[in-house]
Formats: sequence, C-alpha cells, structure tokens
Amino acid sequence: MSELLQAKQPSLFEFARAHVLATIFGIVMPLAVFAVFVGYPIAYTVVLSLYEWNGMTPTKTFVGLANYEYMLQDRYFYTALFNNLKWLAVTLVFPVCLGLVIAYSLRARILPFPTLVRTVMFFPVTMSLISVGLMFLLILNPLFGAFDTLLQSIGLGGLVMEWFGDYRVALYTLTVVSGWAFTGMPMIFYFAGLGDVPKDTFDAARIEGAGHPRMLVQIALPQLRPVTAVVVMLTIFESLRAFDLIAVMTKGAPFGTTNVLGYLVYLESFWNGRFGYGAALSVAILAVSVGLAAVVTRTLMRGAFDV
Amino acid sequence: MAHVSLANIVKRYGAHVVVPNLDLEIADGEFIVLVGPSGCGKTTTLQMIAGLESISDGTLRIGGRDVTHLPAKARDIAMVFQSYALFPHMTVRDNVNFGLRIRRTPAQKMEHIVADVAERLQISPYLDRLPRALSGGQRQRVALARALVRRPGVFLMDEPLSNLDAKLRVEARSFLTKMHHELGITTIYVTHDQSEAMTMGTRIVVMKDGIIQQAAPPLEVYRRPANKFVAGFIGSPSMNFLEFVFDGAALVRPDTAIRLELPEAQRCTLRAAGQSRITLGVRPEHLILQPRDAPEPGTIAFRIDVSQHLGNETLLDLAEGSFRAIARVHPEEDAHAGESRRFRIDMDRAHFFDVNTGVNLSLVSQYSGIT
Amino acid sequence: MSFNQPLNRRMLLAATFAASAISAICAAYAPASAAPIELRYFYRAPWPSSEIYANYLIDEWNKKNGARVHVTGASVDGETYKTKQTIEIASSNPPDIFYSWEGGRAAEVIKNGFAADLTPYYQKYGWEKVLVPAGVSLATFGDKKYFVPTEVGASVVWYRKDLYEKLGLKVPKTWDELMANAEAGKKAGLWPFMLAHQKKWPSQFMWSAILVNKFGLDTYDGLVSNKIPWTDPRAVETTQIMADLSKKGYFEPSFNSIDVGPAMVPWSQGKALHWYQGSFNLGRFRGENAKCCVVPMDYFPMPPFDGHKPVMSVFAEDTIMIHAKSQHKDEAAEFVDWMISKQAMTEKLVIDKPFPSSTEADLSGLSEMEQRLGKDMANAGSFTFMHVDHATPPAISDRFLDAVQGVLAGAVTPEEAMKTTEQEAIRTRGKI
Repeated sequence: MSELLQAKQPSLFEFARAHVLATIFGIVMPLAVFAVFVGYPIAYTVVLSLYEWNGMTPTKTFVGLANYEYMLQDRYFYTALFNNLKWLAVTLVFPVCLGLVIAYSLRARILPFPTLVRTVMFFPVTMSLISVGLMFLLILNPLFGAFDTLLQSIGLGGLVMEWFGDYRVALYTLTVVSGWAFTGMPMIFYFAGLGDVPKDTFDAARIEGAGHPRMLVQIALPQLRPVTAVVVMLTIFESLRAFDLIAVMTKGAPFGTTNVLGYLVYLESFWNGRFGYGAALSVAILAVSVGLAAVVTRTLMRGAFDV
Repeated sequence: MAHVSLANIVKRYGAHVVVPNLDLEIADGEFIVLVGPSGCGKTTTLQMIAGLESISDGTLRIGGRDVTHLPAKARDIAMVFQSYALFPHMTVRDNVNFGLRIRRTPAQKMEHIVADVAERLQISPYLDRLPRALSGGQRQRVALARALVRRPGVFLMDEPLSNLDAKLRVEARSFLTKMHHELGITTIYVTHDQSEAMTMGTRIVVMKDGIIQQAAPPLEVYRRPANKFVAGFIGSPSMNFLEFVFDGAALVRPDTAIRLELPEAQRCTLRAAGQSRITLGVRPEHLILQPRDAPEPGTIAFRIDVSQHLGNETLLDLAEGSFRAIARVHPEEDAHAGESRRFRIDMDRAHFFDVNTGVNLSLVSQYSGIT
Repeated sequence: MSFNQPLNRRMLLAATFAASAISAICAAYAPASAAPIELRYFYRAPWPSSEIYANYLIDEWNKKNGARVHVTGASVDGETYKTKQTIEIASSNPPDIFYSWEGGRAAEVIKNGFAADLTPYYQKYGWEKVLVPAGVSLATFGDKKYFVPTEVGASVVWYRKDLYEKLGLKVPKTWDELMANAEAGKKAGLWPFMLAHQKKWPSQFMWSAILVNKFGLDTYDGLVSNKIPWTDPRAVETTQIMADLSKKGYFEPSFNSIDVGPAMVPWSQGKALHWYQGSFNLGRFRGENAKCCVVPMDYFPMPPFDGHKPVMSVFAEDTIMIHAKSQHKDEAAEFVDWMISKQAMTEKLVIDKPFPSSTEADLSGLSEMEQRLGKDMANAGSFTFMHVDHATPPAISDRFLDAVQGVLAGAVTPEEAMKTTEQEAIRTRGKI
C-alpha cells in the first residue's frame, strides 16, 4: 500500500495504456453517459434560455439575454428565489437538526425501540411527495382536518392557522411538511456517521461530566463534519428542487407567495408557454445550486475528509 | 482520595451473565491492577465502576458513598482510555480543561491548573496543537493530563499503555508508578499484560470468566498462585505444568522410569489432598540444569528443542515424551539445541495442583477452608 | 438432393425471396377493410365520469364503424392536460382529434396552425342548427369556426332554497337585494357566500359577473381582448367590490385554504347561503343521487346593478378540435358529429354531467332546475362572456388570479393587483 502511494503518479495517458478496460469502463463510459444525460440537457437549457419559444411553433426566436434581463426585474422570480432560500433555511434547521437529534438519541439509547423508531422515521423518505402532499392537504384541511382538531382537543386551539390560505404561513407549512418527509434522510446519514465516531470519545466526555446536549454539540457534531457536509449539500439540492409539494398543495397560491423556482420553471414553460424564460429560470437554479455548493465545499467540506 | 468497595456486583446482558458476583475492597491510595485474558470481565468491571455500564445487581461505593446508580460525572472519577479518546477537533488545552470548563472553573484558576499538570506531564509545548499532530506517547500524556486536572478520587485506566511501542511502554510504566507515588490517588488499572500487572500494582486482581481468581500483592501472586490458572497467567515464560501420579512417597510416570522423590512436607500435603493424580507446576527458573556428569536420581532428561539467548538469560524449550517445558538458565551455560540434558526440579518451590479443579494443593493444607 | 444435406447459401437466398414474394402478394390481395383508418382522440378527463363517458363514445363508435375507422383514446387528468396538450399537438405524430379550451388557449392553438378549419364541416353536418348558439359564437374566430363545443356551462348564483325559506328571503332582482339577503344570512350565522378559493380560480367567476353586470359586456370584452388595460378604474372597482365582500366577512372563514371539493361538505351541511359557481359543479351537487341535488337548492343569474337585463356567463366547458395535420379530417369530423349526436349527448347526461352542447339532447332525465338552466343557457343568445382564465392567455389569467387572491387575503390593494395583471399582460400582448 505504502509503495503504491510513494510511486510516481502516472500520467493519465500512461494509466490509460496500462489499464485499457479500466479506462473504458471506469472513465470513458461514465463520462459519456454523464455527457449525454447531464451535460447535454444543461447545455441545451442554456441555449434555449437565449430564445423565445412557445413550444408550438417549429422555429424559435433568438432574443439574446432578454430573458435574463426580464428575470432580473421579475418580482415573481425574486419571491421564488427567496422562498427557496427560506425553504433551505427551514430545512437546515428543522429536519436536519431533528434528524441529528434522533440519530444521536438512537445511538445513545435514549429512545426506546430503536429499530421501530428508525423505520418509522425513515418511512416518509420512501413515500412519494405527491402522496405526502395529498395526505397533508387532508390533515391540515380547515374544515375537517385532523391537525386542527388535535390542537383544539389539547387546548391549543389558539394556534390553529390557515395553514395554506394565509400567505404569511403557507410557505412554512410547505417546508414543514417537506421536512416531515425529509427528516429520515439526515437521520439515517447521521446514524451511520455516529457509528464511525469513536465511542470512547463519548465515554470520555461523559466521565468528564458532559450531558447529552453537550456531547451532541461539542463531541458528536464536530466529528460528524464530513456527514454534515454531505447532508447540507443534499439539503441544498433538495430545497432548490422543491416542486412536488407546491404542485400538489398550493400551486403557488395564495397569490404566488409559495412559488419556488422549480415551480416557476414549470409554470412559465408549460403553463404560460414561455420555454425560453423557463430555461433562463432553470439556469438561475443551476447558478444558485453551484454557488451554494461552492460555499459548502469551501467551508464545511474543507478538510472534512482529512484523516 | 477514596476507597472503592464492590459488593456482590453482578453484570448481566439479558440472560448472559458476564460478571456473576464480584466482591472487592480497594483501599484508599491503592494501585490495583485488574488482569486477565480478554473476555474475563475486567473491562466490564472497570466500566461499571466508571458508570459507563450499568450495574445489574450489587452495591458500589466510592469514598463511602453509594454510587451504584449515580451517573459517571457524579462518581468523582477520571478515566484514561486505551485509545486515549482525545477529542480530535479540540486543541490539547481544550482537551485537558474540558472537564474543568463543564464545571465552570474560573478561567484564571483553570489556566493555573492546566499549566501545572502540563508541566508535570511535559506537554506544555503542545497545548495549542491538535491531537493528530502529536505522537502516541504525547497523546497518552494528554489523556493522563485530562484525567489529572480534576484531581479525582479514583483514577481508572483501561489498558492505557497497549497502544505504545515496547520502549515507550516501559518508560510510561515507571512514569505512572512514580506519579502514583507522588499523588497517592486510588488507581484501578486494567491490563491483559501480566508484566504491567507485576510491575505497577500494589495489588493484582486476576480475573477469569468474571470471577476473581486471586487478589494479592504481585509477589505473592507469583509465589503463591491460588490455582493453576493464576500460576499459568502470571509469570513469563509461563509456569510449566507436568502431570504425575503420586504413589504415596514420590511422583512417578507409570510408563517411564521417571521418579521424583518428595520432601516429607510435600508428601504430607499430597497425602492430605488424597489425590493420586496431580499436576506439578514448576516455574522455568526452578528447572535446574544439571552438569553433564551429575548423578541421575531425582532428575528428568529433556531434549533441548530450541535455545533462546536473551543475553541476560537463556530460555530452553524442552521436550520429553509428551512433556513440554521451558527452563530459564544462566546465559553462560553451554546447553545447546539438539542435545539431551538432565534437569532437577526445585521441589521446595514447586506447586501441586488438583488435576480437576486446578486448586493449588500446597495452599489448601495451609489455609484449609479456601477452595 | 437429400434432406440431411445442409442448405447452401444460394438455396437459402432463394427461399427467403420466395417467402417474401408470397407474403407480398397475399397482402396485395387482402381486402381493404382489413386495415381500418386509425384515428387518435386525445382528451382531458377532469372527473372520473369524463373517463367513463369518453370510453362509451369510443366503444360505441368502434362497434359500429371500427372496421372502417378505428378510434383510439388517450387521456390526461384535468390539471396536467394544459401542459401535455402543447407537447402532444406539436409532436411529429399528433392526435387527429383533441380537447381544446375555448378563448385564449384556443386562439393560441389556432394562431400556431394546429387547428383545422371546421367551417366546411359545420355546413356539411349542420352543426350550427343543433348547437347552443353561445357555443357556436365561442367557436368562431374571425369568420371561421375552429372547434366544436361538446359541453357548455353557465355560472349562476346557487342558493339554498330551504335557508331562503327559513329566513323569509326572496330571489333578488338587483345587486342591492342580493347584498341585503347576504347580510340577512350573515346575521343568521351563515356564510353569505361560499368561495372555496384554495386553487385561486373560483373568485374570477364572481369577479367577471360583477364587472359585466355593473359595467356592461363591452367593458369586459375590451379587457380580455386587449382594448382596455387592466388598470382601468372599472376593473379596479370590481376588484374593490370583491375585497369589500371579503372584508365584511361575506365569504367562509379560511376561504383561501378550502378547495371546491371539500367545500361541498359545509354546503351540504347548510352553512352557506349562496355560491356563485359554474354549472360543471352539478355533478358534485348531484352527489350519489340520480337527479340534482343532495340538498334543496336553486339558482338565479347574477343580478345587475342598474336594472339592466342580467347577462349570464355561458361558456364552452369542453371543446373539440381536429388537428390541421390530420390525414383523416373527414373521418375525424364524422367522429365529432357522433359526439354531438342526440344519442351521445343524451347519454352524456346519464354518465357524465350537464350540460350538453346540443339543443337536441333529451334533458328530461334531469331535475326540473337543471332543465330550466339548460333552457336558459340555450336562450342566452350568441353573445355572452367567458371567465378570465378562458378568455385570456394563461400567463395573464394566472397573474390575475394570483392578484385577486392577494386582494381577498388583504395583502395587496385592488390597484396593485390590477397593476400586476397589466404588467403581465403587457409582457404577453404588448402595451395597448
């Protein structure tokens, strides 16, 4: 092993000559698949964003950067963008932190029936968001929804809100529903990650007098940085991709306050027949994703995987 | 400073009993070593004392307080782990003062304590480094420092030296011993290494299957092992065990000409035990090499298989029929592999064990009643 | 040559050639009826009953004419259809017959050359004589007709007859009388109007009805046909009237959180007095009953503000187009003719819901109220109005609906709402 590490790094060309099969199946083919299924759509989207097209005419009109110019002064775009960021913020706080706490509680054996809890928590992740949305539409229905009834029956009737109707609340309702469906994901990641954190460090902290909150924050979390990096990355993409729940539950209502970029792309492209503008919005999503990913890479990821 | 008392301690995992019933009194300031092969329950016992494992039954007292069901932090203990368990993301300083910070020690006082302990353990230059920038020995001292700063009543150590290389281990051994002399903190030390046990402990507790086999000062354990297990475990190379038949006057091997006459005292011991088959235990240094021209009676001829020269002594691997033994001889002796030599057994220092129970028969007669 | 001798290459070639020659000859001599013309019918199925009815249409057709013209159906649910339609009709292998909306969407499809001119078929089959006049006028763009309506609807004020009786109310003849009835309902602890506005489209029904009946059909036509900007004071005032209704608590609480389907529950429980909605809800009002309705209810048209004759909104709910690229337009027209035949239209009432676009259809299976409404629609004349989301391109109507929802929630003023709508309209159609 050490010999391998010390050996001079061969050039890519030398490597390819020495390992023909590995090069074809390990490098060339994945790259080709990536180019066809990821690279081409991205490139096509970027090109399309320079055109105006209603999806029906055989020809597209080249409009240069007009779509982007419009985007920069489109109030709906900013609402959607900020909604995405709010979505991200809530998702980072609620499902990610909750997932961490549950994972920790399972590892520390604070929660009873760990296998059951794990299964129950992970189950929503496997559910389609469409069915999650439909389910919560019923649960949060103001006429006969179970949630309002529950709140009232435990004397918290004052907390009942228009979960989807109130423009100040609706987006957060959606994020919490999404969080409900997402919690299992960070939980399973953190649960696995905690398995790799040396148990001795927890024991040592315990003997030094640390309680669970302190162990979670000061001992577990710093050692889980690689997991956190991955989870945060996943959360970013999940938040920017948000679409299903909005499509099922609010369709952007009330008055566009629950629009997110993903739904706006759909709305502008397919509903309003502005494929060029939809493509420009998609490029914006890509840019925001890349930007946020870069921030994560530079901060959380940096050194996280050093052994 | 505290004495530790374990009374009827039981550890069960479901139906599986790891520690059936353990009684041990540890005096204040004692350096006690729990030793035994892996799986003997020594680490479980230590973790029960630490509060990392719950105690299924029985009472644990530290400094006279019943701490059986108290959490680790309320037990006035500190622990050093085999892996050191340093917090990899904290500097040495933060590692060391972790417990002090939790207890909200004033900054100035904390600074003072850490500086003092760091000085004593020679880690002052590394206080602002991360653990991964330290060598194994340095990490080990950081772990010690972290345990020391709080001045605990009891010090628990779980094989703290086993990750060090041989040379450092010997250094660390005397370092720990010295530290114990200076501070006098009650220390419970777990190891599977009998040489650490012998050199460091004021008392050794030999364990097997969760049961204490013998608890006594090192030399007594060495000289008067309670049973065949302790005899074989303590001492390196291990004690030689040879099976014989006692014919009322001497030890014989029926199918050979070997016949070892016994002194009267030992004849009495064996007669009292009333057993004809016994296991003779002889330490390597009590197999005494005879000159080539010495008379035969009372000796056994062994073929020397291997001769290991260690410089200060020579170990001879011996065989005779089904017998296998190791003898420790003076390095100047000219015994060499392949030749057959006669050895005399120092019967005054030999032990006789019950073939079935392993009990040391020589002790039974003296302390009748102990089984 | 013996049989166990392996075939040589030449023999193999000869055999292949012979086999293909024989099959070619067989095919040439086969009767023409063996390969019927294939028609593809792409439709929207917003209700379970729509699917059942479409299958009835197709099966009956194929039973009679399948050997000559065979129809295959493909459907998409109500919401998804809007996005799938573009993809389907712009594809290289488009459906021959497809569902289209009236108004703005239809205009877009026509503008892009996907809709065949149906004027010749209107003449050939005499469709104009059997179809509801309002439906025909909606199908006319310029001097040509591009679609055939198969279901028409009207929006009216539905009211609870029993509650009216209980409160001693009379059917209002003017807006003010309607408001007085609403106030009486509110005093009695009822919701004066059901809105069920979660999906943001319901309020436009009332909005356009108020505008038409207060400011006249011309004003409304001007708005949706890009002659009057949305920032016009009349549009703003109409929005303000809606906002006032909301402020007065004339709609059910949490109306922005309640969808039309679940709203049937409080409606059936008698919690609301009125509901301004389209007749396509009759299927819901009918419930499990054979005839409408589950609860005692009736309708009246939106009353006018200044004593004019009320204008009822009649719109084409379902409309059918033939694709301009279809190779079999004549056969497709034949199928469309079957769709609006008396038999098919009468069956639609049994399986699906009112109202058929053909005046020939037998309405006697319906309740008295439904029959009355059917006659009212047939008599509504050729000039009427569609709601905003049918009349304007989707981009404008979507923004309009958002804006009105904002107004009703008290988040934006009517002026702001109409300004937003106009901005979007300018983007779509340019400045007026």
